[in-house]
Amino acid sequence: MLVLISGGNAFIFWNTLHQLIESYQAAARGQKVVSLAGDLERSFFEENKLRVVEGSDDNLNNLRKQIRTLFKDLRSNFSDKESIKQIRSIEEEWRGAHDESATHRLLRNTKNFVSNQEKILYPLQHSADTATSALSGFLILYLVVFLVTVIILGQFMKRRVFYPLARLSEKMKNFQAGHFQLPPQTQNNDEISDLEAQFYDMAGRVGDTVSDLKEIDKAKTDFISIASHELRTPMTAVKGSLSLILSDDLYKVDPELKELLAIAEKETDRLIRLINDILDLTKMETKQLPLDRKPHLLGEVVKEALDGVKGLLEVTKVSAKIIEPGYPVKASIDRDRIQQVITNLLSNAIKFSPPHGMVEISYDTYPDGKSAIVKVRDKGSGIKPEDLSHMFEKFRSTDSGRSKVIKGTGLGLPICKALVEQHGGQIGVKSVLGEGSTFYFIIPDPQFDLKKTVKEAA
Amino acid sequence: MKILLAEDDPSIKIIAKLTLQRVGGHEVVTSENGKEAYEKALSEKFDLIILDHMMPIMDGLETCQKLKNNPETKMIPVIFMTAKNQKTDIEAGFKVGATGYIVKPFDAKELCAEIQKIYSKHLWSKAS
Repeated sequence: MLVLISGGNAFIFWNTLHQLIESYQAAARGQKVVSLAGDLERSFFEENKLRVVEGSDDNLNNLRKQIRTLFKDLRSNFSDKESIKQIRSIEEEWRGAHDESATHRLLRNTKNFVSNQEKILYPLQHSADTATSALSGFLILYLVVFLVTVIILGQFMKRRVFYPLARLSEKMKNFQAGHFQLPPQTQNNDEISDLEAQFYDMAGRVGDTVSDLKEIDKAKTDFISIASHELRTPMTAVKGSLSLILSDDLYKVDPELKELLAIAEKETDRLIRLINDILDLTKMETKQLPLDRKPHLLGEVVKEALDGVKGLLEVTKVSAKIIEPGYPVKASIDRDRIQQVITNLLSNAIKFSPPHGMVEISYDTYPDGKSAIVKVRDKGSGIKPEDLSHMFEKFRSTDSGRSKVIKGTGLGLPICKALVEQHGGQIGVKSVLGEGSTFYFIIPDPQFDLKKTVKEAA
Repeated sequence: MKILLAEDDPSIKIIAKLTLQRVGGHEVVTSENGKEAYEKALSEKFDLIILDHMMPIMDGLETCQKLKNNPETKMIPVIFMTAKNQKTDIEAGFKVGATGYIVKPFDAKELCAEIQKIYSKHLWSKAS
């Protein structure tokens, strides 16, 4: 005899009964039960010699009949006391189930029996289901904990890492922009504070160096200002005295004495030029000589420069001519400074020309269309190739007998170079030994960047 | 011309005075600082005032400003004579009403020629 209490049979029985009662309940509510036989475990019924009532149109009666038949067959098939007890218990409950709520209670009870049998029959599956439910719950919990942890970690990283780094980065940017006054250092005991401490240390040293440089700059500025006055003042006295004495026979002076005084006056003039050149060059190097750039006709500037060296032309018996392009050439220049450059180049060309020689000065628009070029050409002895690259160095003089007669300061060309470069331009020289030299400079339009390589200019 | 020369350096004062007198043929009165020069300008009549830029008590710029602000002296042309030849200093001088500028060191003839040129220009502009 089969024991109904546990095992697969009991599970199937309670499951089948549960389904039947469910179907009965649905039919009682008016729902159509599609296939009664299909809900039953046919193998269970066959094995246990239980009869299956075939369905008809009246599902409710059929269900009632099936359930009644089932109970009857079960009582005859299951002889053990426990099984019979369970069957009678359910049967009594079924007989008493006249309304919806009673049927519902019966369903609940049969479901509990089914569930219990599931635990006995399928412990692993039950565990698995339980485990799955438990796992799902755990995963959700884990996700929540993970998210909370991420949020907390994120906040921590923001406060302890990202914000301090951003603040440090901001301080570095400000320092780089020249704001050397840093805010108070943060005093946390972490790696970022260490990094900040190192930056502050480095910034302190840089700041000290900048302060030193500023002091040096100020010292240079002060020197120029003082030197300008303090050097020129005694030179004024010397120059003034000499020129007064030598002025148009105001004083009766012995001719020999007069000659000596004339030499003194000439050397005084040279010393004055040297002082002026040194001060000019120092001002340019410390960027204290601002340019006053305006559009000017280059031809006029060239003519004024030539007028300024007329005295030198007469003394040296050299001629000069201007080669004009045939159209006006305008350039944005500091007129006085470019005139100074042209005058310097002309003076050099005259000094290095032989007596009765010719100096040519020309000006034109540079081939790029955005610059102006000025050339000064002499037909002197030329410059040695090894000297060419040193022409614009300070106190550099070439070996020329003539240059010793008419002495320069050695700063004329460096000053020309500084002035031209301050205009964003370039200066250069081409020379052939025995044929002469051409000095040239190119001044670009202020909005135009002159290329570093100077094209064929001479 | 009767010229008032304000110069604190004794050597340059003597040389400039001699140059203006012997080469230019002018009458020259000297002072050692700007304050003294201003007081003398109020008490005597001058055709031209030459001021050094850097002087004790009152410098050249301040002296010129005071002269130009006073109706009794504002019409007298003022020339700066100075070793500071930076454009900014020259412009500062013109801004306070100077008529001209001479940069030291100067040659005797150059000084007189420049003085004459500036004074003539002043007369011309006054006439027109």
